[in-house]
Amino acid sequence: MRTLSLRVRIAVLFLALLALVQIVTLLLVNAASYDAARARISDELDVGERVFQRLMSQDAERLSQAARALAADFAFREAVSGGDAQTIVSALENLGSRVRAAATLYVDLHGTVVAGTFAPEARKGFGQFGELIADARRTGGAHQILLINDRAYQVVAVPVRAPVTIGWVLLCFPVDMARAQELQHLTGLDVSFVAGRAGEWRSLGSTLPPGEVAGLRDALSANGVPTRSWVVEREGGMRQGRALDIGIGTEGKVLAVLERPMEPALKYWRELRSLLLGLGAISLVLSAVFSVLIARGVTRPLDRLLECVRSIRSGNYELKVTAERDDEIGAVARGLDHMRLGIREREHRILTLAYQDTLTLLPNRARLNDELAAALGMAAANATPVSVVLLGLDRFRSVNDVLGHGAGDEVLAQLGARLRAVSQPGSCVARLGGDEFAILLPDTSAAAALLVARGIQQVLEQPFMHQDQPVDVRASIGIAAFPVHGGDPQTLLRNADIAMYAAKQSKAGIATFDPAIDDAQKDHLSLLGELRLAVERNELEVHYQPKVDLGSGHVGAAEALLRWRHPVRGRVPPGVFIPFAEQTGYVKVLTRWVLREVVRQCSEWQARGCEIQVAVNLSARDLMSEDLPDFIRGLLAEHDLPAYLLRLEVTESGFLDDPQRARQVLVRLAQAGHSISVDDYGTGYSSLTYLRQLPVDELKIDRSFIAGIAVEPNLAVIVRSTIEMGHGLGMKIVAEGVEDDDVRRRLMALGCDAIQGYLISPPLDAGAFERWLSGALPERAVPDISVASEPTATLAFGRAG
Amino acid sequence: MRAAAALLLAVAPGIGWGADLRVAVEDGLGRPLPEAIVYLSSPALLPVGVPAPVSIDQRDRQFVPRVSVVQTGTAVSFPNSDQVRHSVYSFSRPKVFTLKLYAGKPANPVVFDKPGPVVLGCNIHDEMVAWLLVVDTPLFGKTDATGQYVFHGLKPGDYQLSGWYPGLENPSAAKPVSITTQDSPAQRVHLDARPIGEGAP
Repeated sequence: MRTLSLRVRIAVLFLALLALVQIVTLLLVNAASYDAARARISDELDVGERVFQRLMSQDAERLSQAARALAADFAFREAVSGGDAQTIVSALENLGSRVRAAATLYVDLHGTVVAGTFAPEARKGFGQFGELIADARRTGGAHQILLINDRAYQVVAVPVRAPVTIGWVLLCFPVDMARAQELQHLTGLDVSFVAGRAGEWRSLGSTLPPGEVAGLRDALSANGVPTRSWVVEREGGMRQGRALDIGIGTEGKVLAVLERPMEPALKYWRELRSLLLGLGAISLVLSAVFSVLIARGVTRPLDRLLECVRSIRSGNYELKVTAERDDEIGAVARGLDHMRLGIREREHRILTLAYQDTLTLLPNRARLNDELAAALGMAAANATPVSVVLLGLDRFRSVNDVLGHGAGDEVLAQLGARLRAVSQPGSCVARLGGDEFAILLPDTSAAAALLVARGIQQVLEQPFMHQDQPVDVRASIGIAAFPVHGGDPQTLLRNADIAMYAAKQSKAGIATFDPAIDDAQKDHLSLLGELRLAVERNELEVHYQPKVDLGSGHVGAAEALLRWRHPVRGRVPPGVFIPFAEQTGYVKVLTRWVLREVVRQCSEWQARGCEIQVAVNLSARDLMSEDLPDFIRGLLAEHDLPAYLLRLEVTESGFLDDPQRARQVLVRLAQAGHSISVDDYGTGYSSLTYLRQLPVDELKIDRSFIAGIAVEPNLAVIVRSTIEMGHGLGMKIVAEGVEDDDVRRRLMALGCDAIQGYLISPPLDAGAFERWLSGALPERAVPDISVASEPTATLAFGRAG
Repeated sequence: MRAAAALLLAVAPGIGWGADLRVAVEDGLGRPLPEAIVYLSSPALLPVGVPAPVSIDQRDRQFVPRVSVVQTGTAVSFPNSDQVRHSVYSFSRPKVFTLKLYAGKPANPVVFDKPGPVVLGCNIHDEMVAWLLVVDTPLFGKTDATGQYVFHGLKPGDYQLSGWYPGLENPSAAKPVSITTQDSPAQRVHLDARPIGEGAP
């Protein structure tokens, strides 16, 4: 449509310009040639008029001469002067016939008619010729055109001498058709004699066709006599003419109308016009054809290019853009073709990237989603199961951290290759991102998928190699199957993820999705929302569990423990919401809330003269946040609390995920003056050697080792060696979960520095803790442990309760 | 041409046995008119018998004299003094005649027996013209270069004075003039005419 309009526009512009030029030319030539024709006829009329006048007077002169000669005839004179009326008339007849006069009269010296050759009834018209005779007497002869009895005559007066003038002979020659024809012959003009007066004209004789005579007469009667010359359109064409006033009579005037048809002169003009019109039409047609051809020459390649562009736009890159021309269009075509190839290549690459993982060259998550959707569609139609096996590496981050990202990538690539190698035909192995892989198993039930998962674990038992060093990697695998665990790709993947997470948690390695896990997960989700509200609703509070120095029996320290009083659920155990908060990252908010509360409380106690060192637990995520030291410093400054009164506890697992960063944060905190404890020592995999690199001054031995210490010699050995090694490294040792006095005594014997547990006190809220400290609490059931009223010494402690 | 002519007459007694009468003729503009004809008529005048013949010569293609006056019944001869021939004619009412081409003296004179003005022409030479007034009285004359004519020896009595000039169709109306023995005072005749050659009015 656009190109069509372009083509039409070009053609129309050409044609309009050409037509304009031609119309202007035509108008100019038309006007010029019409004027020329008019001027030419006007000239002809001028000449004709002069000839006409000359002829009229020549005629009169000639007739006059003839008449004069005749009037001088002696016998005639004798007859006229002396004869009776009859004789005179006969003499006049004789004379008139010689010059072919229509009428001959003899008038006396006063112009009174004496006799004449007219019918008696015409006598009336021939009255007095006084004026003519007076004129004639002055010049010796005269002629005039007179209207007599409705007819025009050229009247010639000649004297009769005997020998003096005794009278005048008047010869009347008709001014009629014959005369008009004669004059037409000589002048080349149409001659019409008309007589009458304004409004009523009649023709006396004309060379015009009868119809036109009537037209002329009517025109004169209707419009009057034009002053000079005129152009009229009458039946028979255009005429240019003029009227001459040639005679007079009692009944009006006599006009000679000279006309010339314009047709012959206009004929050239018309021919020229026709020629111009013809040329114009031909050139317009030719121009139309040429402009259409030219426009096509421009627009046809454009159409072709447009077609190619449309094809590219619709995603088809196979249509080659061609234009074998060297002009601009050819250049555009070549440019377009380069563009097409470029787009094709880039799109191919983008598609590849979009559906392929570049590291392992396995399909990516998007591709897996597509495949899964397709597989589910097919499975639904065939009523067959589909399983999704989700695989996540355990502690993969430490591989990256310890061995570098190159190693991590290498492991992932090798893993991808292994997975592909063991995958069954028809299955789809994809990397979902990070250390997560998924295997789509069409036509496979959950039970069959379990076998596949075990096969995968066997494959993983073979260590991966990095720079000829074995790297041991373990994986957790979750399984979800269609249709039992979900009907759509999202649900299946999510449930497989839940199963995998459960496997990770349980360290079982492989888990098939269980709706129960899902419920717990859902519970967690609602907990998250409520946990957020808990901060706002003030449902959280900090409890303090005293830490007693075994040597002095002083209580100079306590561990801060978070408690949640849910308005509906009641007391929510920390074991439920803390791990959940850790998973979701919300633990960071909680930690800071606890820090703020503890610093405020400590500061208050200190102001009241009671210095208690309080320990706050930091999660792994807290150790990842590098602004934590600044946050704590700000808090301390705000409450004017010295740093040594705030101890920070971390678990072994807390810094195993990203030991480097955790170490940096711990170092900064230690440099700020905080003491740092390792909590739950013994449950992780950290070695003391590794701990030595950290600014740790206290180890809290996990309760699982303490409870059986009095009865199990092996545990006692472990605890003793731990205490000895800790002391060797310059650390203090705290035992958690001390619940009876035997254990306390045993620990004292082993050289443990401090204890924490129900034997001393359960965690107490701030008020209860204060009262306990001042000895008001009956729970202080350990009589041989003295608690200083002024706690100065400090001991660390573990998680209690 | 006006037919009416004003005529003034003064009668003066002549010398000798009769009295003289001087007549002055003027044209329409009051100028003295030579070659004008004046004549006196009276019932008392007796016929004189046959008047003496008069001749009007043709010399150098001109009539000589150009203006003449004769009494009724006068025979006028037209001798041709030229080498060329002439053919004298007149279509005037008093006498219509034609003398065929002739040389020398024609055989018979022409007798003018009716009064009135006569225009004479030559059939051959259109430019030749002469005027002749035929009157019924012997008392007539032609004014001189000063436009005057004197009648001599008039018998006392009552007369009618008339004047004429070539071109006038009729003489002027007669004016009564009484002649005594004494010379009468000069009479003035006014003619509505123009001297010949001055052209028609």
